[in-house]
Amino acid sequence: MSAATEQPKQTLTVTTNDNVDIVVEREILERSVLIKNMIGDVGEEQIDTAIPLPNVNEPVMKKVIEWCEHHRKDPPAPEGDDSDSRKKSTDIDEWDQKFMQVDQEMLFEIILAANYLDIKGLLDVGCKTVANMIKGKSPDEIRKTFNIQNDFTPEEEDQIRRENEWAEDR
Amino acid sequence: MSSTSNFSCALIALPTELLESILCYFPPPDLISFGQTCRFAHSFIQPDNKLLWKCSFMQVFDDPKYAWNSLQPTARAANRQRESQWDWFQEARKRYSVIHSVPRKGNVRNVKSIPSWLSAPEDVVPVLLDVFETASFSEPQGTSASHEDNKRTSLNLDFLSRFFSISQFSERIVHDYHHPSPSTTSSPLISDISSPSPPGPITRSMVAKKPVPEWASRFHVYYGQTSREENSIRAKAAARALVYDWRITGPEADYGPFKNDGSGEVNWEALEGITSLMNRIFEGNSSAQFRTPSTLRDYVPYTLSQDPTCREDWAGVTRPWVGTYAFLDYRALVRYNFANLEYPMDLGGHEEACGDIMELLLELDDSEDLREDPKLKTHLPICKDLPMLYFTGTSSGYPHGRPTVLVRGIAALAPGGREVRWRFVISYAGADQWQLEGVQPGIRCGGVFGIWTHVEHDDDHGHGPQGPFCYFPMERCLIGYEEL
Repeated sequence: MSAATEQPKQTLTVTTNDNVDIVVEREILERSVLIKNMIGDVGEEQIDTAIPLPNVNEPVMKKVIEWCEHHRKDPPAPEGDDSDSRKKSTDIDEWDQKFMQVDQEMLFEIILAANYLDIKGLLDVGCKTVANMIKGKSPDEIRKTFNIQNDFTPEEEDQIRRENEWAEDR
Repeated sequence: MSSTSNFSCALIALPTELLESILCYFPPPDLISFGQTCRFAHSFIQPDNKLLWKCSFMQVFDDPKYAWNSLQPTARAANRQRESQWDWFQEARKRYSVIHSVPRKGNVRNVKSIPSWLSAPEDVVPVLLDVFETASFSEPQGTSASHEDNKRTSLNLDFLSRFFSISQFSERIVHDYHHPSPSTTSSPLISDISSPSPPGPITRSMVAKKPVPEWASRFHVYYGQTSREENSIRAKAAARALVYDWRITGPEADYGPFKNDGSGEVNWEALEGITSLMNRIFEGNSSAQFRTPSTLRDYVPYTLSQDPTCREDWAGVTRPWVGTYAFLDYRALVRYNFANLEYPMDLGGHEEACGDIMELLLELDDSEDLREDPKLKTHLPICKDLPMLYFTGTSSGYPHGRPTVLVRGIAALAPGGREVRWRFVISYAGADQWQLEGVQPGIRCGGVFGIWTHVEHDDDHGHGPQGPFCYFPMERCLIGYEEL
């Protein structure tokens, strides 16, 4: 392998919190700003040591890697743009939509992992997916979707509904 | 599932910043729905979560900063207090409440509640006016080479068009100054929809009795012609009663639609009457060749192109303009103005004559001759944020065929720095003939509306022939220019 003219793809090992070692191409793993910075910190020679990921388990990490692999050539997220003063779209591309067709537990774990590993693109897709699950739903439908316990008294609920009548989208 | 806490729910248990990243995609109704699910959610979306409400506001409206940043310094200074008091939640709430207040289409039960809705236009129209005045356009999606203004979108204009399409009643909130007898309703601003025939003749004393709030006239000017105004004799009568009244203007207003007190400020009530007549007249006389630029979209400032090679032309003077003028039979004009003021003439039946459709070709001209021209001097104050522009040009019939007429004039920022005042001096047969004093309700937008008079005003009475005129940028009038 090392004799090939093409430079061999450098790989890294990560250890998930359920003690599983996963070997991944460095370029893919560097979609994670956290890992990219870790590599930068420890220096090139230390790179063959496994990177511990105490906040992510194996099934979630595999999903994260799958996403990073598909998006390995994405341009880096633009920094300091004016996005907070323009309308945000919840559109998700087709591949990502399919990718996010997982149970809710996995969905939230992916969001948490993307946040921890600092993968902005994946975090955005995760948040948009949840947002789309809430959009256009009544409070009761939202409760059902996410298993939220209604802890208002009937009087409180009534009062809050009246306070918020202005926002009822008719 | 815990019965005491929702923190076993994965959504609620998310770290605050992640929950915020999800909720920031929501327009206010979705945010409110989420807030009604449980106590934690309710406390999370409280108005003091300003970042969240800013995001939510931005899902439905344009960020006001773009419109504010485009204000001239004087106008911006006057706007500072508003900016410092801006609260995203309160503004969203105000705007949604306005949508919420409109009686629905086909809801017969609600028809009775219409007069009460209309009796408080001060709760609705200033909000709509603010939505309009904070509108801005985003760049078109998929940036191709065609950056045409009319392809760009504005959330605020979308919101306004939604407001006016909710029901056939929406438009009734736009000021209608041919109000019925004050005894029939508490609101003199709004026509009584239950009685299509007038309860009595409109008297000048009635028109003069209660001044129309400026916001009502301004919104009407920007909004353009309403459908009830289109075929209403009473609306024509009321507009004529204003526009053909010699007292509407005078030397203290440079014989234009300004306050008659030397302040140089726009007389919005007069301007409203002029736009009402001239939009209709232009439409009636040119609809085969031209569209009438009278939609809210036409009046967003700075939407008219500017010649990039001529930055000093801030008003977009140099371009073809198209417009016309109208006049009442002179005997009727005199009779109306000398008639017993207690029982004035009803001008509803006095259809004015319309001049030809005229094409103006204007060009900036910074020559000493114009700067020193006494006919182009004004003693009224102007806003100095932008320099006064001088121009010359020609006026001819459209299509061409009349002898060419010479035009020269000025464009200057009106006091307050929002509107542009224009003067055109029209000359032919070797002499100056007419003075046209007009107002464009915003910089590089819509059209110019005003009053024409004889260029000499030294007659004993100080009055003579007088009537309304309008000029629109030609490019806005081309058929096919997409409407809102």
